[in-house]
This record gives sequence, C-alpha cells and structure tokens, in this order.
Amino acid sequence: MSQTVIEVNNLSKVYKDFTAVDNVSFRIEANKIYGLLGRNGAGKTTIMQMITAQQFSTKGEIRVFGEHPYENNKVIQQICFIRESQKYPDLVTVRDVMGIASDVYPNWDAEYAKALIEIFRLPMKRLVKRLSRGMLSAVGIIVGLASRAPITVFDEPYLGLDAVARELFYDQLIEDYTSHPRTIILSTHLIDEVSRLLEHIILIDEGKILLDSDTDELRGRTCNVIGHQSAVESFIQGRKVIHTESLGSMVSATVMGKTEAEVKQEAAQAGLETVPVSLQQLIVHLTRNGKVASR
Amino acid sequence: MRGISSVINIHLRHKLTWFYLPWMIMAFSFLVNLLIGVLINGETLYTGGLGTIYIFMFVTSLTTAIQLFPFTTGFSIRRTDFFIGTLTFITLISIFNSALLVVLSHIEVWTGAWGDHMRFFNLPYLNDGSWLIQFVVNVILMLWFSMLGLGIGAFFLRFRGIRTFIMLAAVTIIISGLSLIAMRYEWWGPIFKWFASHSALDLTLWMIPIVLILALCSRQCLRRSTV
Amino acid sequence: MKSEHESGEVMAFQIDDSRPIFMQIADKIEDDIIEERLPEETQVPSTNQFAAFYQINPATAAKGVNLLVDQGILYKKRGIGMFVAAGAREQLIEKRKTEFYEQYVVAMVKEAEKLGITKDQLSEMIRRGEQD
Repeated sequence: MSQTVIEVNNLSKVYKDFTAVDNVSFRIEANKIYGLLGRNGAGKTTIMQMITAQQFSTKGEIRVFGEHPYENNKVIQQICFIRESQKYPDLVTVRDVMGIASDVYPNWDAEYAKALIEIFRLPMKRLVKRLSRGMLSAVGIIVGLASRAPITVFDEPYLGLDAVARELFYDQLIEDYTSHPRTIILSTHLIDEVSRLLEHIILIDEGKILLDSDTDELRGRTCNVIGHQSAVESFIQGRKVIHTESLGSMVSATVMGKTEAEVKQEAAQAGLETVPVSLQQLIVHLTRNGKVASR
Repeated sequence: MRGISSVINIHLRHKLTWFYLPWMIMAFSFLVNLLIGVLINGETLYTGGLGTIYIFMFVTSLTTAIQLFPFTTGFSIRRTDFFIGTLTFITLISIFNSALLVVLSHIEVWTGAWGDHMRFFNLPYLNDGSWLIQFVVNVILMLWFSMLGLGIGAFFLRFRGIRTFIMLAAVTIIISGLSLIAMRYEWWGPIFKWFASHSALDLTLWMIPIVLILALCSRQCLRRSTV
Repeated sequence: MKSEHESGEVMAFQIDDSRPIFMQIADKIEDDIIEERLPEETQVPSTNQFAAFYQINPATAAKGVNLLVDQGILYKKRGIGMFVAAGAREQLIEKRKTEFYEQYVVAMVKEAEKLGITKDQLSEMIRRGEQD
C-alpha cells in the first residue's frame, strides 16, 4: 500500500466558547489528491493549520513524515500551505514573492513559475497589496504549483478567480501532478468543480469527520430509492439513510449501501425505483442534516 | 539554515524601511540644520537629528516583526528561524549603521563641526572616547532600540491587541510611579550624579543584559505565536 | 452541473458525478472499440491524456484502463503504451449482448406481463420499433 505521509489521531482544537475541531483522526497517503471538503467554518483550515504547526492543538497527535511538525524544518519545508488568507508585507511585489518562494521551497521550479505567471497574466512589478482578489489567489496558486512540495495544500485557493482562471488551475494541477506526483490536499466548499480531480475525500462538518473514503467508491455507493411511502419505509429499515424527501405519498430516500448495484438490485426486488445521486448532492445532504451550528 | 537565510533575504528586500528611509530623513534633517546654522551664523548648534536613526530602528523592528511573522510562517519558515534571522539582520544593520555613524562623526570633527556651525554626528558625552568606544556605544544603543521594538512586536503577535495595550499601559504606570517616588524622596540628584560619573560606554554596557532579556522574551513570545 | 470546459469539447462525453468515474472511462473506451473509433491493435490514449482531457484524477483514469486490461480488452506494450487486443470488439459485443438481455429484455418482458401484453403483441411491437 501507499506510504502514509500525514497521520492524525484524536486531534481537537477547543477555543473558549466553541470546539473548532473535535476528536479527528485520519491518514493521508503519499502522492494522492485529497479533497478536504465541508462548509465554511467546518474546521478545515484549523486542521491544516495544526498539521503545518501554525496553530497549536488542544489535544491529539500529529505525525507528518513520521515526525511532529512543530519547529521541525525537516517537515515544514516539505509542505507548501496556500491559504486563502495568507498575509503579505506591504512592500513586497509579485516578483519579490516569487523570489522568496524560490528561496524557501527546496523543489522550486523557477521556469514553471514564470510560465504560470504568463498563463495567469500576473503583473510582476505590482505590489501584492495592490492586486485584485483574483490576482492574489493566482499568486497563491502559482506558489503552490511551482513549489512542487511533497505535500501541497490549497485552502480555498480560488476566491475571486473567474471560471476561465479556475479551469486553468485545474488543467495545470492535473498536468503538473501527472509529471510530478505529490500529495495534494484541496480544501474547499466548491465540491462540484473539484470532485472529479479527487482520488479521496475527507468530509468535515462541525469539526468532525463525516466521511473518509475513496471518491469513486463513494460515487458507487449511494442512490435514491423512490416509491410508495410504506414500501420505502420498510426498505430503508436497517440501512444507512442520509436524506429523505416526500411528495404526497411518494417518498425518496437517499440510501448508502455497500455498492450501488446491491441497493439497486434489492430495491428492484422490492418494486422500488432507483435514481443515481451525485457526489455534490450526497455531500449537501450529509452536511445539511445536522442541527443548526451551536456557535 | 535555509529558513534563516530566507528570513535575512526577506529583510534585505525591505532596504527602504531598514536603511534608505532613516538615512534620507537624517540627511534631510542634517541639511536643514546646517542651513539654519549657516543662516544664524552664531554659536554652534546642537541638534537631536541623530535620534532619527534610533527611533527608526525601534519602529522598523516593531512593524516588520508584526508584518513579516505571519507572512514567513505561512511560507513554511520556522518561528525560531524567523527569530534568529531577524536578530542576525538587526545586528548586521546595527553594525553597519554604527560604523557609518563613527565615520560621519570623524568627518564632523575633521571639518571642525562643519565650519563651527553645527554638531550633528559628534555629540559631547555620547561620542567621548576612541572610535572603537563610539562604535560599541552605537551598536549597543541600536540593538537596545531594535530589541525594544521587536519585543513589543513579539508580545503583540503572541497576546494580540488588548493585552499588549494593557502591558504597555502597566509599564508606563510603573515608570511614572517610580519617577514620582524618586521625586518624593529626592533621588533625582544622586541619580544624575551617578549618570555623570559614568561614561556613555559604562552606561551602554549596563544595557547589554537588558538587550539579552528583551531578545529572550521575544523568542519565547514568538515560539508560542500563531497566525 | 455543466462546466464551461466540457460544453465546448469535440468529444461529446460528459463525466457524470453520480457514477464511479473509472467505470465511465472504461465504458467510453468500450464504446469507442465497438463503434470502431478505436480499431483493434491501435494505441489507446495514455491515462495521463485521459486525465488531462477529462480533467480527472490520473489514478482514476488508470483504474478505468486497468479494468479493461484485466478483461483482456486492452494489453500493454512495454514502454510504448496500451493497445486494443485482437478480438476485443467481438468480446465486448458478446458482453454487451448479455447485458442487453439482462437490463432491457428481462425488464421488458416483466413490464409486458404486468400490462398483459401477449408474446405475439410484444414481437409485433419490436417489429414496429425497428421500422421507426
């Protein structure tokens, strides 16, 4: 099996008045593209900040390349964490940022960075402070891609980017990942746009992990079962039901089984209709169900 | 080492605030004072323009700490490396500035206080002693002002606005209280006498432990800072 | 939801987010072989090309291709790439026929029974369907 690069056990982050991350455990394997998904404020950024030792955990264990990341250059320099809210000093230009990044990241590819700057049409001499929101996001994307860090995290990387620039990002990500395989974590709430890029999904809601699964496996496990109320109700007994909706006496239940085929077959035997569920729908159902956030 | 040298390089990209700006303002102050000195053409002027560079060391250390730390931490640089890199850079620029000041002070002596119009770089008491002593006094003074700035900056990064404000207010109150007590018990006379009996070098040597304590506190604050 | 990228593509094939993508890739290659867009003994696009073209994860594309390798539809030439195996088309058509029977014919007969359609009426309907 693949080598584990990040291991998190029972990780929590508790602030005075609320729990941002609640007893989370997961593993990240080398050279896969992960999606850290969830709604805004679910705790995604806090988790990544603890993994990169920018924040301190309240409780739990973090291992990156087998070691704790805090003040550990062997770990930290292998991670490039692109944050939507990355701060830049007032007086640095785009050129400065690229210079600094080339200094910091051992695998920096200056040629590739130059090419990306042209693709995203960034003004080299402009102060970062004076860039538009979209251009600022592009700076992060370029640093993230050209750093070629063994672990690269993009946390909501495309705020303010238009559809064309986002497509450019996905194209570049796939292309560069293919030629330089590495662990990539995309943390985002825009699920429908990125889901096809992801090999594995970790879904976070209210600081807890709801799902930790291979993406395609997830696509194959869920379907809507539709039929008469009584038939559907008896069918869903003892099954994992994520969501139900009803229209008159007709009920539609989103059911998660071992495989979709299995659910389909059994539903057919019970005389029920099945309809496929998209990953986006599945995640929306899962994260909408919980009670209103108690913050 | 990569982290430390990166931090030094980032500071080097900020030559404007670390170097050009203070020296430009010093040059401006120098010229204005010289012009006044020439126009009055009376007694030699004693100016406080030299203070600019020290104030700048304080302010720049404070602001760059607050601005650069969140940036470097986001760019995979350790807190320790940020601290060591910044400390190294501050020491280097203090040495550089001090050497420049000593040279300018000698030029001032050599030109006879710019034709007996103004004392700007060579002040009595502060510039007593050999060029080496002047240099050491300058370096320590600059480090003291920088560490004060870095220390307050690091405290802010660790404890944020309100607690930093409370800390500064508390320090101000303690100092005012002490000076009130000194006034009440008429300690000021002996204190001034003590100062007068010691050279600038003696006094700055006393500052070394304070510089070290400030540096240590900055380091401790930064080690627990988050972004 | 349709993304801008795909609607403009020449190859009209939409990734469906509700089914495993590797199966969709395998189906797509199968269709191309059956419809002879990919004749036997020709080279199949590499997994990286699939990944870049459909903006999907290369590992997912590889899984789809490997599924067909396991079934003997594709085979690997060392250092060159993937090729369509001899007899692949025939094999696929046989497989699809079985699937056709299971998916459509069985369901059709069942539905016909439910509606009380006789066997003669059913074959008459099929004949009519062919003419349309």
